[in-house]
Amino acid sequence: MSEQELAEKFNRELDSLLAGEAPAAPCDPGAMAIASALSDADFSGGSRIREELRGRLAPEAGGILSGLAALLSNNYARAALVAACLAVVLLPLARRSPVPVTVPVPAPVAQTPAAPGPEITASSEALSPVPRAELWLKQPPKPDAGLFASVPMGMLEGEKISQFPIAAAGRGAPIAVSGVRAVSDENGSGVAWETETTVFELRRQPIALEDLFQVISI
Amino acid sequence: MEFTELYDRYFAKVYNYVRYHVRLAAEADDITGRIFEAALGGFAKFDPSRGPEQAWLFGIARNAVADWGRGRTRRGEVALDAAAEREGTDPRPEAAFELREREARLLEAVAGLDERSRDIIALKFSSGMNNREIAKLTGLGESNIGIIIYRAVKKMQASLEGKI
Repeated sequence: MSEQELAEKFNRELDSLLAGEAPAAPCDPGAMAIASALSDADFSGGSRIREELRGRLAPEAGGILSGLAALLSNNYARAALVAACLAVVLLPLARRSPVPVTVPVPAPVAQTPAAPGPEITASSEALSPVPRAELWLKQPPKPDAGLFASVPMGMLEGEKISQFPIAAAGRGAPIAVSGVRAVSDENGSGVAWETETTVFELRRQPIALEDLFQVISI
Repeated sequence: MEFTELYDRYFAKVYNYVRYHVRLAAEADDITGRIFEAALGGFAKFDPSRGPEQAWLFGIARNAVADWGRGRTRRGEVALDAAAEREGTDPRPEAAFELREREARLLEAVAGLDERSRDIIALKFSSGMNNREIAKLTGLGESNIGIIIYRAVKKMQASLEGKI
């Protein structure tokens, strides 16, 4: 009998063995004993992850509801979920009842004397208006009253600043200042640094209440 | 079929398949975990009409074992004898010891086979697939699979003569 024929006969008997029908008279009892030992062998009892892996994969496999159930089995996660739900419910209620605010009228801002200087460059154009917060007042503010008290500091146009106040960091190209000049107009005064590409201004000017808030009399 | 059903049905088979390739139980755990994670990732796309689930699952398992083998070769690791690795949990220590010894001898005999024969033997005795299905999965001929199994078992018989 050739090896091919022996192999075919052995495999037929092996398939019977694996199907649960052990051959009565195998053609090669020694080889069939090895096959029987292999088919009986189960190493999975040595696995230490079987249950842990199942517990980890089952919520992912079960979709949102199973994942939520697994999440809620943790006390911390449950408490965090309750807190989040409360925040979602209470936040709209808190927004519906605005609290009126009364602001004391502060001393006027110290005015900086206007000094003659070059014209303002394009970079000093007024910023586009931004939405302002609402300020509820019992009495309307005085027209020329400032909002904040002045903080003592040196007059900007009087100081000789020739170095750009922002240092270049990292590997970026250094900022080269091509010129420094004082700027002054009806809005205030300050210093302008000119670089190759743009102009930076440090300006001091009085701020009116209406610049920051939409004042509503009550 | 749900994934947990697939897991329960095939965990032992996949673990045994991996164990025939890997000597350390901890590594077998690690690889088996990766196999089922990958299976979960692709489970939604699994199409039963394209083939049985065990062919799909053992295709993933073969790739995972091959990846592990390549990584081990790169790292220059050497297989360790894990015969004494498992802790005895059987209430009958002697029976448990005999079982472990028997399993260790079987694994040693399988480890003595060349890589292709070891893979075919592992598939034959753990996956539940027949020779035709194994041939389709491995890309070999069905009669070739039969010859490889026969030769591998005879080689193991020679190395285990009187030990099983």
